[in-house]
Amino acid sequence: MNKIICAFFILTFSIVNTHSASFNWIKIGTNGENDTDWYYDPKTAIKVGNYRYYWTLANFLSNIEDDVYSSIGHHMVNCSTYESKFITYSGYNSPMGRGDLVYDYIIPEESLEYFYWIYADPIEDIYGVLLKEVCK
Amino acid sequence: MNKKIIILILFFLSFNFSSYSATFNWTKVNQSNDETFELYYDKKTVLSTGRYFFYWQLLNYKKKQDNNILSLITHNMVNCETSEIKVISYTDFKDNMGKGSPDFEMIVPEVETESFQWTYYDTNTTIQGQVIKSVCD
Repeated sequence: MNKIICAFFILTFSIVNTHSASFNWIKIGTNGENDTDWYYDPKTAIKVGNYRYYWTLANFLSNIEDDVYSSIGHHMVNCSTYESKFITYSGYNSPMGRGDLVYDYIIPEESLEYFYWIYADPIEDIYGVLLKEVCK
Repeated sequence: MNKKIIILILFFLSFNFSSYSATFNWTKVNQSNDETFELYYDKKTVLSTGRYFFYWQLLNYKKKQDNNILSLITHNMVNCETSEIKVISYTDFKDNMGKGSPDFEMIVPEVETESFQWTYYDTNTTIQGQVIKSVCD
């Protein structure tokens, strides 16, 4: 019995440690064009003031450009309007954010022109469905 | 004996689930030399995908400031190679430890473009530098 308790404690603390800097992606769905699967990590969603900040993963299923098969992004949303802004965009040459980094952009650093609010319908648009999850 | 084990398991499971939730879990780094404020960061928010690390930070004042604020939370990005940070968002509060309603909030590159700059902090002589060191280690 003592061994079981020890094993449980070790397992518990190892799980706590993995929370620190790794992603646990949950699939939200595939877009209407069937070319992108969207994921987000619920444990990264943080509400501060009027906004929520979260990390997403997009897996590109077809129309692969520049050898980018997936991207990870840090985004923010205004839950009262379903408008979001993309803060970062990192493109990888393998699915699920694996492989080598192809692109790494901090959007407002590149150009404020691209740092805009964009609305996504929480019913019609798969990214809007993701926002609905983030805003729950 | 069985009851004790069940209570222990429930306790640790609740601890695990709470660490998934979207609330901050602040770790104190240090306080200013004049003891007017303390700096904290949340370890579990430290994430990186490319060149930079991203994390959340809390500055907690010991006394109310002129604008009546007692704490502020910022979302920062760090360049660990140069010990520089950029502040992405800023929210201040009238209560300590980021509690109470937000008093003022700002998405820095949206509102103060000129403030969205890299700022260097010495990791040995400044508290902000100590936060950078903690995030980058």
